[in-house]
Amino acid sequence: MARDDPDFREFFAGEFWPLRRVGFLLTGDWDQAEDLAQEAMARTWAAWPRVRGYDRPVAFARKVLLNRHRSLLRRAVVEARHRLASRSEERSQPDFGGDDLVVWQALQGLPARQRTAIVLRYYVDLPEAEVARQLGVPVGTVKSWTHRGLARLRDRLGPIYADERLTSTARTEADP
Amino acid sequence: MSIEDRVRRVLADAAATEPPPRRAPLDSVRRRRRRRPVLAGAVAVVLVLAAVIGLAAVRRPDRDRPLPSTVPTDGWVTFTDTADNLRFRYPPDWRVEQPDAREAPGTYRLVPPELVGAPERQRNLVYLTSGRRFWVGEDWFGTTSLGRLPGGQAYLRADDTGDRYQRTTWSVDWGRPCLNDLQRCLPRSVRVDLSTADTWLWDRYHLVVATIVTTLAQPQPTAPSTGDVSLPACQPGQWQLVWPEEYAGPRGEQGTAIQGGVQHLQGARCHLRTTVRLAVEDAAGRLLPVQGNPASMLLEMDLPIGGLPRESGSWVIGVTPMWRFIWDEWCNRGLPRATLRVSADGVGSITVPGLDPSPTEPGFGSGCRDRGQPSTVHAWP
Repeated sequence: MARDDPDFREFFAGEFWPLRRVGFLLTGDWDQAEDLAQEAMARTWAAWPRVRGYDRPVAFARKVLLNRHRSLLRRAVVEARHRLASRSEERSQPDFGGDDLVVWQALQGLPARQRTAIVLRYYVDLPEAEVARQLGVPVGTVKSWTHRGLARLRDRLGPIYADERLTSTARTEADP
Repeated sequence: MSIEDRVRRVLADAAATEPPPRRAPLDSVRRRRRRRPVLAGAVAVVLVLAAVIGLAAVRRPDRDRPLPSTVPTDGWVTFTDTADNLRFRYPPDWRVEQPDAREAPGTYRLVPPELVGAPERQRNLVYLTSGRRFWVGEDWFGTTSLGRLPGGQAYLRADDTGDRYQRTTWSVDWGRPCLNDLQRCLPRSVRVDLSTADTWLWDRYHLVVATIVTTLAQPQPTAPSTGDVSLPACQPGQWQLVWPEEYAGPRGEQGTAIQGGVQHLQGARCHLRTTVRLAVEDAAGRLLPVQGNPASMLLEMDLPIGGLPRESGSWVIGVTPMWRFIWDEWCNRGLPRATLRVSADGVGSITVPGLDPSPTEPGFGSGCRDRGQPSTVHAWP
């Protein structure tokens, strides 16, 4: 059993917090994030004799977290519990202002698949192929989800990014 | 800063707000499986308690005010932004904030009295932004509808109830003003976003926000966003249809959007007014039995500035008039993989490959199911 396994302790110490952060970026809720990270770690622990031999055990744990997150989305009752709980006590939220707040809120409003692809791509910094492997979808699907997600964010930030595009377009048109 | 860099920074900043854990993490993981037998009971208790708390919250006297059917605007304050040719009115106890005047001019936050200085403000937002973008973008989440303000400006309204937010967005056609800081006259829109995570705030204020939208006005009249009809008409050979080689999924994956623009090829500035048609065909070029097939829409813009911009190898969507069609219930049984032929007068047609109605691997469109509803195609909005 891995209970007193120093390797697992070391793995846990290094990876629990990053997993919890990914969970937060997926859910927008630190309590849910902690549940997700603990569940991922518990299952990784249960499979530790096998997982410890992997090149990157954290990929296993992260995949558990992603699957668990997907299951949570399907379970409306659990979602409802968190929604009700979040109304009765103030949740810890990033203290953003201005456009960052718009970006953060827009990220929270993205469809779960697009949000997950963007978090893995731009927060965890995984290459598209690895994102595809973790989510169990083709690379083209990851490209599509990421593209659509960014397009929606651009749409929410229209005044800034539309101006950037039109400026560059105007320069192009001025060329002979 | 690119959108990718901004997303990276926001995600990193958000994750950096990490609070301390509720309990010792490793010990919790160790206990987790032992706790499972009682977990279901604990969840039930939490649900009952949360329901009681939630019920008590919504019955609090100050949150139980009946919904008004109309919102009187007597005594409302007028706000004017001459740089963005924008004027609107709002209740006197609301506050208008400009989050970042330097980085995002024309962006205002409207704060109702209960949220001034309150922590809930972070998840209850009313934003009003004026920008250089066409009023019809990709706001096809939820239910969309068209309307006109009292001043005659067209708007697209999108209502959505998500897992965490109730949201309504109004995107208003703000014409094609020639503002002082611009060398060209470009389509503009004013966008009002109402997004709340708290139902009582939604119940209390969505009619107020809808009324604020109706007060939007232009201090100076502007030309139509669809272009300058006094320019010479664009001729065949000056432009072509383009498709950005991507699909979008309004209303989940039961609908697929086929959208694109036009590319300016040569010649002086001109005004384009043309009818674009979408035909849903089988491999032999026969029209498939889809209601509304073929569909058509009027496309009007000035070229070249109205053309679909291309940036870093991708067509940029949302800043110009575009042709857009939605094919709902596209994966009904009996429909083969279609060929989508988009055509316009004088410039021939382009062919858009249809999605696979019975995909063998996950991907865009694989969530579509035959729900027994008719398959329809129509211009959007």
